[in-house]
Amino acid sequence: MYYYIYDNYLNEAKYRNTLSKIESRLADFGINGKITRISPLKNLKLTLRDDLNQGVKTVVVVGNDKTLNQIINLLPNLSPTLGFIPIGPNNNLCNIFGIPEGEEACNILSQRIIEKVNLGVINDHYYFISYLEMSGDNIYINCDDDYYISIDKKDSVITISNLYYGDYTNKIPLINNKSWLNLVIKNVNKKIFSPQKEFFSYFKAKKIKIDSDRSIPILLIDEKRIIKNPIKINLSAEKINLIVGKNRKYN
Amino acid sequence: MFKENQPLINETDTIIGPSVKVEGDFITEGNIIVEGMICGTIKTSKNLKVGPDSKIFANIGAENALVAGEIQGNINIKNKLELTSTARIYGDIKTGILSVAGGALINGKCTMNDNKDRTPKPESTKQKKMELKPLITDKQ
Repeated sequence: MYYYIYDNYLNEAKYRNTLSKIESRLADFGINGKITRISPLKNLKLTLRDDLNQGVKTVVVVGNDKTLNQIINLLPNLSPTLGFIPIGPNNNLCNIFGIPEGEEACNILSQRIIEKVNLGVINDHYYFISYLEMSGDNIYINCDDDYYISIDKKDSVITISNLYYGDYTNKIPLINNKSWLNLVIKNVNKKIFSPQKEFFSYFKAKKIKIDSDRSIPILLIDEKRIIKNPIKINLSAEKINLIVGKNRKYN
Repeated sequence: MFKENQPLINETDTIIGPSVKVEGDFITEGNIIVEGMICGTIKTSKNLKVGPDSKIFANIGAENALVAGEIQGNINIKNKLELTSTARIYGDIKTGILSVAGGALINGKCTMNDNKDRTPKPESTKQKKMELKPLITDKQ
């Protein structure tokens, strides 16, 4: 049984046509099911728990990267298979998973190639599928309880990634689905009469602990969160079963 | 092995950039590029590249190493250690093959593995023993 969760922004009129095409395609494939819409007035966590108890085995997220991350955190457990239909802006993860946008994603759903995908966990509580970013000022990083990293320069940016789709992909091989997290520290060397030069530091670690004198704001798929110190980041023991396309980019 | 002025390569597991300081035991299975500062221990089963502005206060173990910066600690390299003209080593060196450029500084004991089988000679260099015949025959 399939269960579809639509993001709130899909209520806009410009998406009506795309949604109707998707729904008719799903009906053609015989994989249509119950539809729920994310709404600020609805407690989706409770709704999801009740519906999953009634035998839902595949949850399909219709929206963007943020929606996917949100739903992963709302699921009571990671046992249901996840599908993804990307629509609208801020869709980058779909490229890594080899899922085309809109109506074409229904073909991927019907082919049902299931891959186990790692998830990052922040403080044993909050899951993330792609990456998080934070400022590197006054931060101490401990990797695997073996070594500490400190950064001398200001204005550095720290990126911790599980599946990455951002700026560094041409320089450092960050797209992975393996048993480690990637840690990238970017520094910019600013001089008055010379062009800016970027320097990268790159580490692999299984667990990362970050401490600072102040609480640390984290940017997580366009969503800013302030998390209390210390922050523990590791890969979750459980993996999600995700329906992916043939053209997925990770190994 | 690493070459000088090589861009960030795909096989590199760890890059310690300038303005980054690492303290502790740094043990990995992949290639390491150091441009910053390390205090503690570095061990890798592959290659190590130490950039010209880097400072290492650590004992080092690696398969091959190219050093252009400063190392204060003992170095144990299984295969080849290459020191460029800007390298400064304050510690003992143990390596298989050592290559030192003019201007490099070494303050310490240097030991090289006496392994005869390490570089086998090609077949063409093995010459057969020639029988020496006297050119001048005594006419009696």
